Amino acid sequence: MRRTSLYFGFVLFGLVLSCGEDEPTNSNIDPGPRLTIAIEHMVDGDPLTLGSDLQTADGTTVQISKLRYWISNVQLHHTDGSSHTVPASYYLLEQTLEKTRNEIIIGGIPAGEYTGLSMAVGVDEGHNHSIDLFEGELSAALNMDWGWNSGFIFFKIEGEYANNGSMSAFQAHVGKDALYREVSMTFDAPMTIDAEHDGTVQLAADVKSIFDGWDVPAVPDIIGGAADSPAGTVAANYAQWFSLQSATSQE
Amino acid sequence: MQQRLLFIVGTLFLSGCLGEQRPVTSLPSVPINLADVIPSPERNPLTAEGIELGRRLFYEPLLSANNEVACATCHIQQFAFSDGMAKSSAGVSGQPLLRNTPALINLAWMEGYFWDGGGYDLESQAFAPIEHVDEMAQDLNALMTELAAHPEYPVLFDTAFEDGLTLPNVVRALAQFERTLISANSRYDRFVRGEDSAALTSTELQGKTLFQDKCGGCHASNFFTDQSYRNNGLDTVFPDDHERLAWGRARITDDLADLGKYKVPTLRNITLTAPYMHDGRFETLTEVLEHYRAGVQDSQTLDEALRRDDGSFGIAMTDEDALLIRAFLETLTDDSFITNPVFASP
Repeated sequence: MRRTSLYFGFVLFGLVLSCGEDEPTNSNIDPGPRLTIAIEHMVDGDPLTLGSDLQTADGTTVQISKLRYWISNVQLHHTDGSSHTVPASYYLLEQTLEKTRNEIIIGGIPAGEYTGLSMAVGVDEGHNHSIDLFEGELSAALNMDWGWNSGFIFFKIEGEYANNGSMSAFQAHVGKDALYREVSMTFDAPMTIDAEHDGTVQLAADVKSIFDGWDVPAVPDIIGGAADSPAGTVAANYAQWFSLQSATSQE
Repeated sequence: MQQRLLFIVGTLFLSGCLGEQRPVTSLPSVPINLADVIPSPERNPLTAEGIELGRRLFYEPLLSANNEVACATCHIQQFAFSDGMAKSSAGVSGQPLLRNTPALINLAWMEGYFWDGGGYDLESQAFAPIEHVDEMAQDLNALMTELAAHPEYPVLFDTAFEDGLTLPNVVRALAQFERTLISANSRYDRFVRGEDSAALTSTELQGKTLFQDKCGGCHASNFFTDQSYRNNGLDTVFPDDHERLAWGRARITDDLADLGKYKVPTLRNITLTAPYMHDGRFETLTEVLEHYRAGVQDSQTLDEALRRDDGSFGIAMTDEDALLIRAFLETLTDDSFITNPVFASP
């Protein structure tokens, strides 16, 4: 019995992996009504192209090669003010040269009229330190955690910036409890999710805004999570980089 | 005693739930001057099979990228699971590490692992040396592939854990074994437990009194640490290179009040764990005692216990005091800890 479940586990794991490489979303979805959160990484109104020049607000030219972050603790708000909290909702979103994953599909949403959505960038304190919990998509094997300081890297952005005629590497690996950031949004009109309707929330993420207040040539290497440091600046930016595009129901 | 019984009954009950009888008799007992039971997180209760699997993994070089480095490469039983080096270069890359290999003693009761406490629990901290490029440099997905293909490990994991071979269970087994690395059978222990009133000489007893007066504030309790982080006056500046390595505890807390602070280490088996300090800078206990007597450097975060009323720093000690304290420290060596076959390579 044990052996059977073990092999089944491996098969399932392989399935998740193989689908994950090709599809921009997760394949392990609970049955029942669905909520899809689709995130488009945007630069000046166009989808982000890795390796292309973009100008930050202070005029620095940067090229992004890697963007990865944890989204967690998704909540849907009812018209009466109560909420549905999605259990074990930990998702790794990313746009890298190897993989793009910019959609979260959540099954098992209770039927209802929903007026808004909350979620967080990062991993809550209760799940951020024991790296062996492996709840949702949390894992130690995704290069999104730190060994020196048991905890997850909430937000990772890497690339190059123009540095006196040549390109130099920059990176920000931001984490620690102090920089866990909740984001909330209210839908223009209530969204119905039930046996006949799935819901889709479209978000745009303003990639340029991540650099606001971050002097990349002066601080090309951010690692950590102090609020009053460049890491804190990046966290203040990822707390605000999503904008709601639409929240709709589909039959 | 009652708590101990509860623990055993609880373990039996749990085993029943898991549908298998665990041989509870092989769980280690806890010396009464340490604690009642071995604490472990709810998600990772101790079992005989888990401990034994953890021991095997602890000595397993498959855990490293080149299959040559095990946990036990740097945590060597004869040195109370330290390595006798200031900064090891025994890792896969051969590059010297930046801090001294800590001894592994009574870890189940410790809060915060590594010199700066950056390791949250024993399960989580194990990922750090396994993955670090200058330690075992292992890719975790590659590790799982190797373990799954091994002729014995899949069965051993099935025996030890309900969900068999998983990455969390690798570190959980290691943590179970580490929680059994209990040392409390030194001459000091036999004396304080009343098992042998002649275990300490009168010289050592004088040293014990001096130690408790001059060192026991930080090296407190029968764990010989109060588990705090303190700046013991080794340095005056704490540069931020190597990702703020010299910040010590402040690197973890992001609080400048923690600059240059490190965890107060246990002094159990201290004669076996030279060299000393977070960077192994002192080769002998004599140098350590001399540091506390005359070498303490001032800085903003220097521990209050090392500031004297007259404005000087360190701990007042005569030459004779230092010799007596040194004599007492030698009574903390636990020969059974370094020879116990249940801690050795299986």
